[in-house]
Amino acid sequence: MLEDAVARARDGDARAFDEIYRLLAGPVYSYLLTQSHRREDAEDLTGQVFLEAMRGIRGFSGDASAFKGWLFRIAHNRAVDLARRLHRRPEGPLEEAEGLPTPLETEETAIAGVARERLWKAVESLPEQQRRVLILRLGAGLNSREIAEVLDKRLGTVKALQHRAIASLARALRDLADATDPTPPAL
Amino acid sequence: MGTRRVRDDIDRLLDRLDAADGQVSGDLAPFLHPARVARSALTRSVPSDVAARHLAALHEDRARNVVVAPSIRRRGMRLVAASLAAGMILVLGAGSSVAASSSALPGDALYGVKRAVERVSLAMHRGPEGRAALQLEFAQTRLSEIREVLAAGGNPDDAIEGLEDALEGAEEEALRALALGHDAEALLAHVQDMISKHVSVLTDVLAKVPDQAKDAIQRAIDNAEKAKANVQKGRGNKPDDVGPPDTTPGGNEPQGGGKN
Repeated sequence: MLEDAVARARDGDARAFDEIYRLLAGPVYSYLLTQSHRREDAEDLTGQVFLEAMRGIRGFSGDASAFKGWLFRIAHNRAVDLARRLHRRPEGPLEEAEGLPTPLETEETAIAGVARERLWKAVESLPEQQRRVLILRLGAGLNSREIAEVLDKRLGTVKALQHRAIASLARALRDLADATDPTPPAL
Repeated sequence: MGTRRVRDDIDRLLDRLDAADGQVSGDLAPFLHPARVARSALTRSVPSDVAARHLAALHEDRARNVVVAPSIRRRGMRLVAASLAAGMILVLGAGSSVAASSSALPGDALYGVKRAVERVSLAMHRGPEGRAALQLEFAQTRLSEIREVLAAGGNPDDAIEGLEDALEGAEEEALRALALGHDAEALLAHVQDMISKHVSVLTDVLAKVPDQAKDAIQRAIDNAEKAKANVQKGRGNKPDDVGPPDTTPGGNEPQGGGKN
């Protein structure tokens, strides 16, 4: 679906970019929320990213996966630009991005109050590279090959980082898992 | 289980988180729930009103993105330019008119495209910090236009008016950030500093322009000074004390705000 939309957008089909927006705006927004830490900034940056991508899509060549990598590189660059402009570091407390719409209501109901706060702290406590891989993997929905492209890393490195990130998260969230999972993990 | 195999298995697990129920056991089981919890917490949707705004701005940008032509500044060449641009639509199609219009000056065929692109960029932003930064960029662009138009012996009124709008817009957005309770001190200081620089350049320009342009330049300097004073006042107030720029009785605040 994405591949077809990218090809049509590259060929000048105006509606195709709307499809791309609908498919990828959520993942881009999710990533930018964790980078900008303010909802308004993430919204603005999301619009900017798609505007920039739309203007440059004729010069893009590659498949859907490469397109996602390209789009997220734009997103990351814009987040860095904003941080420089506002004299903020790119990554700060994730709690500032809280209080947002909740798309996954069924799972969302399992994460409330203190559990959510614990999750934020657990993610925040990860080393930067692990945290970035985790956010791109689970927040933005990229696969490990796409993340390798965005971060310009080897596939094996990305897999190692996500392994360590998930293992750290599992340890940090053991109490939460005990409380919410019918088959608690034995770590 | 070897480390590489574990990494590959975790990678596959993350690829099929939704379908993994009942199929995960042994070494992978401890990772399933944390991965789902993290995904749930890290995944967000763009609010529908924001998505609608983004799509509308994308549509407007596409609609504006129709002409490709170099900037042709001599008035006598406008008709030729328009014809050339119309022809190039057919040859090149949409895609680079935005870049082509970036060097247009007031009076050029593409100047309207240039200003429209700026409005689209502004429409993409809701946050006052981003809008203030954009307005300062626009002010810088207007200042360059004023210099170029004057150097070519043209009328800079449109660019001067645009500069006033952009500086007032930057002032308003900076004060809005403060009123919203954001940590806006750095932004206010930056806006104030940039306005000062614009005033300095305009003062320099004023000494060199023909008499017919002096009034407009002086008005722009006066309004920029008022905008700077408003920002200074904002820096001295608590967020709750910040009101509209023109509310102080007897003050010298600018009437109205940015029109971009």
